[in-house]
Amino acid sequence: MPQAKVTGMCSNCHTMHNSMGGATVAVEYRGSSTTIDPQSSLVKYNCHGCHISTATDTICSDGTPIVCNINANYEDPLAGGNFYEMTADETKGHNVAGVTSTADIAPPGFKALSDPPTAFTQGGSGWGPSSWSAGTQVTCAGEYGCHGDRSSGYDGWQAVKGGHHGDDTTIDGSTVAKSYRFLAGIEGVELNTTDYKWEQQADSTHHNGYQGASAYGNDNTISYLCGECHGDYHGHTNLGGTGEVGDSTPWLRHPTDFAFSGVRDNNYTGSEYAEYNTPNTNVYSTLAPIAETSPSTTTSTVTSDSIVMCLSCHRAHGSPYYKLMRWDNKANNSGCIVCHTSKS
Amino acid sequence: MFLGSGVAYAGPYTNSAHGTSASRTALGDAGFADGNCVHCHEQHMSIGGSEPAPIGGAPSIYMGFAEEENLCYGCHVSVGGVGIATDDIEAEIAKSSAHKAGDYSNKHRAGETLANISANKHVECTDCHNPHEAITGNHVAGTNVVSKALKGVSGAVASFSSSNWTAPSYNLETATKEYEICFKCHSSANTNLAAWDSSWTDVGLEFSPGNASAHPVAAGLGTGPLDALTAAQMTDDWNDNMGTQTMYCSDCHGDSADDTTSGPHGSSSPTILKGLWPKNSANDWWRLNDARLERYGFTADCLCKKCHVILGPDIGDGLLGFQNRAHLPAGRGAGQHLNYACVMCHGALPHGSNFGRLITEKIPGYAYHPVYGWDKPAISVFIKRSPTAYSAGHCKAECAVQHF
Repeated sequence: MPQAKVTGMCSNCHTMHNSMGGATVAVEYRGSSTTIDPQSSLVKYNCHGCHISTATDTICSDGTPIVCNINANYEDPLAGGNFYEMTADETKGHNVAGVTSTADIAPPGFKALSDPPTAFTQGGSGWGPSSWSAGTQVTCAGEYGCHGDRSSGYDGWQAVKGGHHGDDTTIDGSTVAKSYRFLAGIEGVELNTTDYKWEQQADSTHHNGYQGASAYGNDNTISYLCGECHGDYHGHTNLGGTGEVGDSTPWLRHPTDFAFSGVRDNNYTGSEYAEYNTPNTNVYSTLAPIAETSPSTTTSTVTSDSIVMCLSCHRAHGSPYYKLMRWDNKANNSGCIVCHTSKS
Repeated sequence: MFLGSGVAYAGPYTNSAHGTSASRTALGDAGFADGNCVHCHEQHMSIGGSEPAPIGGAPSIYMGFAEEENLCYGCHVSVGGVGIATDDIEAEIAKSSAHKAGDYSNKHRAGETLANISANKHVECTDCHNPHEAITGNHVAGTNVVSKALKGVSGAVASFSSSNWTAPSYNLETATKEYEICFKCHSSANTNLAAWDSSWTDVGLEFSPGNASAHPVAAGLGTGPLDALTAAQMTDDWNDNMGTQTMYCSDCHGDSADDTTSGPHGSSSPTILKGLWPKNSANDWWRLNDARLERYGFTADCLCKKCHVILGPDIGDGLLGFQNRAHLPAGRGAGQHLNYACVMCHGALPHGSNFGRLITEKIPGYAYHPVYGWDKPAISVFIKRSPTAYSAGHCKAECAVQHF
């Protein structure tokens, strides 16, 4: 089910000499401003050049997903939300370089390799930043970003190089192209149904299939990816273990990559989680979705094996709400009570 | 796709006191609505703190912005709080006799079983209160039905025996009666009751409706001629529905400085009592003459006086007599009772008894109440009668004037 493998003329994206008709070709978009500069891999634009739009559509006519509708309100945002929200209020999105100028904010919960416990191996495969020095800004891709190969020293170009040309028929995390949304090493199933693509529309039987793990057991999950920069919030051994998160008796921070079956001394039956999404009990909720060990885009019923993840509460890119939340958490607890049904 | 849409419906939390009003000032100022989860819980221990650390240091269990009782004290304090509540529970628990939540750390667990409780001596605010369901308001006299502030809390639900002085069995369920919450720790539902405190007694045994007598905590006393006391023997709050009325543990246990129904957080009186019993402010036993002569601040201080009308009509000596003839019997020995300690006849721990009217049986060598000793009870036989029908033949005692 190829989705991201590009087609068409090479010159749609690349320029051999950055010169055409006596003028430079390559443009680096930085939000509402641009710079004229040759780009790595001979491409004509940086990420923003294709994935930011001044229109309101979130999927272009050529199928390119738009993650930031920079000058206009957008229609039907994709699963990650929209960076547009962050352009006006940086508390509502990841402050990605080029979209906003804010730089020197380390990710909340960032756990550097020098933080205790000192023995953990950041990212398992060496992915993710080992430290976050002042002035460093999160990027779309690379060591300090989310997409592509996040190896030490990699910038965005190195990170996604070749990704758009790779065969992504099978998403197994083995390459950038074969990783969920080019998030190297991360697995999952992208919703590709007409009218629902990338959750432009979503419901209980049409949604992305998010990869999870029952108890921090794997490094191929969407929450693990988040934990590479927000390590205090994820209990995988590679990210420093459960010291900061605690365990179910009781939690110190909200768990992610943890199945409902493991809550409260494994007493799922009778727990509030067994009533997920009341009164539509156990129906998959796009307001507070779940991950699975074997994800599917059509899972409609939430069970004891369903897994809470970072994206159960947050949008990855941005949302209209504080802290990239899926719901207006300043105004109400509507998302919390999807799982915490006894707190309705 | 919808961002932020959700099914909004009112449930126990939405309708609770916290659901409608909980607010930390700093977060309220930041735009969080009253009742938002984040006023108490910081999902990543970051909100309002220095990222990623929470306010006040290390992460706290259940993602509270502070640890256990200190989270509650954040608002339930009169000065220096971070929220809006004004009731100073922290000050009550600081009193000499109190449920000392601060003495225990990291013992309480949500959803704990009776076995968990027994194995982990503790008391925390959430042992008695469910902060997600509690409603503002104190209880009213005359019932034992779990009150607003105690809604949604687990309790040791007793299966009582009809036999006199027999302990019940228990199941942990959501409490519907206040005493069930108390029973979790203060009855044999706590299998380590004696180990928790050697002076504690089994209040489940004591309040059993099968007993010859008990305060009507678990059940009304009955409407038979010798069941409940007469209406004339009760104060205004308690002289209706005689025999069917019930009561709370917290009718007697609470703050002595605040004679309302705000709960047994703490008191300056021993055993978290709203008044003094069985000793007065002079550290002497209460006696009947203390009532007649208004000694030691009897009316204000004596716990029993808060519900019971003890004095009766003038008996001709310029002082009042008693509602109950046994308190001032006629004939030989008249007046002897006036200077006897109340606990020579009634239990020092007047929850219940295997004799009627909370009379305590004298059993040589058996110290039922280790705090107050057993040197006072004097009665070995008691025959219950109506208040004006008592005579010497209804009591066998080993006091100054022998009966029988």
